[in-house]
Amino acid sequence: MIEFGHFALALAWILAFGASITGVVLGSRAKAQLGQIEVVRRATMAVAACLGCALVALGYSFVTNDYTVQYVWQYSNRSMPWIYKVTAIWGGMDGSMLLWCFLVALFASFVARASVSYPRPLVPALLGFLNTSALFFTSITLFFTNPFRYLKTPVLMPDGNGLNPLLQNEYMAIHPPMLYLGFTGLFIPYAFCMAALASGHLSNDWVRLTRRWTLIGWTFLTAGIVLGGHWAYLELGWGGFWAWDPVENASFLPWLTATAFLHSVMVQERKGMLKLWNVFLVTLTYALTVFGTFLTRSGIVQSVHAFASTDIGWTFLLYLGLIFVVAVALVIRRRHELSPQRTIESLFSREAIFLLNNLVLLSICFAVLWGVMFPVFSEALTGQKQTVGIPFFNAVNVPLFLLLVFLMGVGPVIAWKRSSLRLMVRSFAVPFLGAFVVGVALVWAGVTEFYPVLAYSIAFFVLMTILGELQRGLGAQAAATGAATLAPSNAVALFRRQRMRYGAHLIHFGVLVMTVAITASMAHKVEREFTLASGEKYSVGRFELELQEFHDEEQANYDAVQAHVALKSAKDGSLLEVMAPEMRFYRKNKENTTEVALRMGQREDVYLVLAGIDETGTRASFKIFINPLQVWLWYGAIIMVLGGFVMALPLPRQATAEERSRGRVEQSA
Amino acid sequence: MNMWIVAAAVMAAILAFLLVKPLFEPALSIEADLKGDAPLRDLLDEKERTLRALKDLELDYAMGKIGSEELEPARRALALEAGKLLEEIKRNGGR
Repeated sequence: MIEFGHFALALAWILAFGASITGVVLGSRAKAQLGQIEVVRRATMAVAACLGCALVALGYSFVTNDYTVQYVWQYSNRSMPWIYKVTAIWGGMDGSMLLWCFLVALFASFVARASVSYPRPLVPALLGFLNTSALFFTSITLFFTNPFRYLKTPVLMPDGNGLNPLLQNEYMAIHPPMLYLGFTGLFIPYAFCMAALASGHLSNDWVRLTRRWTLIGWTFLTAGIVLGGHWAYLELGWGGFWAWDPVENASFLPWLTATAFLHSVMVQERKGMLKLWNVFLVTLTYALTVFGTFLTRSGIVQSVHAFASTDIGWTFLLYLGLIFVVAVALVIRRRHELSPQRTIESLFSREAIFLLNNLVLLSICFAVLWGVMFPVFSEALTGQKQTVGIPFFNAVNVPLFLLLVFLMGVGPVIAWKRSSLRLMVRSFAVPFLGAFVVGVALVWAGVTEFYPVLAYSIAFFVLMTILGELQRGLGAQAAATGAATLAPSNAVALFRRQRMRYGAHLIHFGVLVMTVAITASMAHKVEREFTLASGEKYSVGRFELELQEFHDEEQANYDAVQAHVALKSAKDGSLLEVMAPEMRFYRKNKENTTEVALRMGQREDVYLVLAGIDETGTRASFKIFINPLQVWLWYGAIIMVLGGFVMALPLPRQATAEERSRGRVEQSA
Repeated sequence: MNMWIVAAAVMAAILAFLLVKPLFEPALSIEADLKGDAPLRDLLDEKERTLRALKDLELDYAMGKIGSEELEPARRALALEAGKLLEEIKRNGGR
């Protein structure tokens, strides 16, 4: 099977090579035979098929415990449950690169499949650029990180090393694929943009066609980032979900620029402005996904998530350089066609707010990038590696995020082109007043820290503007149709008519819920360390903990000690739950891990960690975190992802500029 | 091991057949124009933007984001622009 996988990978490389060259060459011509374009289209889909076969071949080797394969031997063992044998495919560098290039090729194949209805001048160059990206990642996999290598040993190994215990978690089945789907999905807008620049087909078509793909990539990336946060929360045992770790940041950077693009693209579509800016954002987004891959795989920064240090970093740097060189060369070539058709007429217009939103998002992106790269810069300049921690990131980003959330409330409410001061006052007076009252009430209730009060007030302001927008929309819809404003049918009709608008509001509402949850969990978190012997009690907040007993457990691949701790109400002593944090010892890997006991609640999470047991085995030390409103963070993320998918659903097909210029508008299939 | 080599050979043969086939299909031997009519395309894009702006204007009015004193002049300006664009599109052979 391993030979078959290797062959499929090599075949994919040949096809991607051929298709990228042919696509770019055809795209540079004035005319091309339809059959030639069809060959490139089919080759693009064949690359995905071949890489899919390679991935299945690797998975088969894992499931059948084929320890003649070095990668399988390194990341699997017989005692691992089958689900972890499957997730071990992307548990190490080589397999994760194979999954990555499969997903790149899969997205490319979806675009190729849909390309029959795209403007023809765009298609050959688009297929060419899609394949150049697939070619790069396939080259890395085939020549540098090939997972189909035999283990160089004179004897057949009876068992493998096993997967890192931290990665033996259900979230590993879904978090990396989601993240990779997000990363790889965001290369589609870049391919569209470069194809538009290369072919000179710079009409609104590429912008319209690419928005859905950007939304798909963005939604997967959002889901991937939040799942990563949830994995860290459950598995790493420090009571938090986001530590501004370099690898977390690497996934966050392209999310920021993609979010900026999703806003600024609306300005280009409607006003013919920000064309060059959007090219910059699309290129930067793709470059940052490649940069993130470089960061995790080059070993230049230290992170719990990073793969082992490897020598392939230079290939990513080379490719990054190539991305920018191609983009700059094409922009210079098409500079006249990228000039704006209008200018911003008023600062009180939606386009001005979107531009401001972009600047804030880019400022956050720059601050995070600076924090990530600071150890590298400091080492280069002073010879000493200095890192910046959570306080730096929070100090810089919290005010910027709050400004962003505030703009989220302002942007959708004001009109395109220009808003009058009188109507703005009318729209914002009640939300502002409401936010002020909330702020005063919080201070009166004893919340005296500046940022939490500001964050809750801004969140309330945005909530009011969203509800106000919904109410005005329902009113306008009711006036047009004669239905009752609050009738469910009126709401459904409004949502159907303006799905993109209300999908965006849904995302904004999700952000709002997350903002409140993050503020609460940061500002009102309780953290304690204590030791207990059997029968002893400890009180924290509304809770009382009583250590009942220790319990030994033996599983196929690890031994565990559990501490059974009764969680009781401090008020009446009633039992709420018996929590069982544990310490595991993975026999094969010879590694200790801690497993958190978590009681999730709508009001707060009780997060209990068994930190250690003394030599006598009768006394244990614990860490407890009471995280207020934590669960609402995950709810907010679900709402955001839901909003993303609502927006990414296909819209009724519009005629392309090419079809309209030929006067043959075809009906969508 | 031989079985996988046979499978690989079959896979390569099927792919080669599927890839080369379009080159021999008479329906796909037509040469397509990849440049298009750029000036007309730009005019149509502009027409679309103007119609979109009209739609946004009416929506903003219905939602109370602009008043009637702002609606009318903006609507007139956009209608004038749309008229000019339609004439130019006709002159360029479009619809």
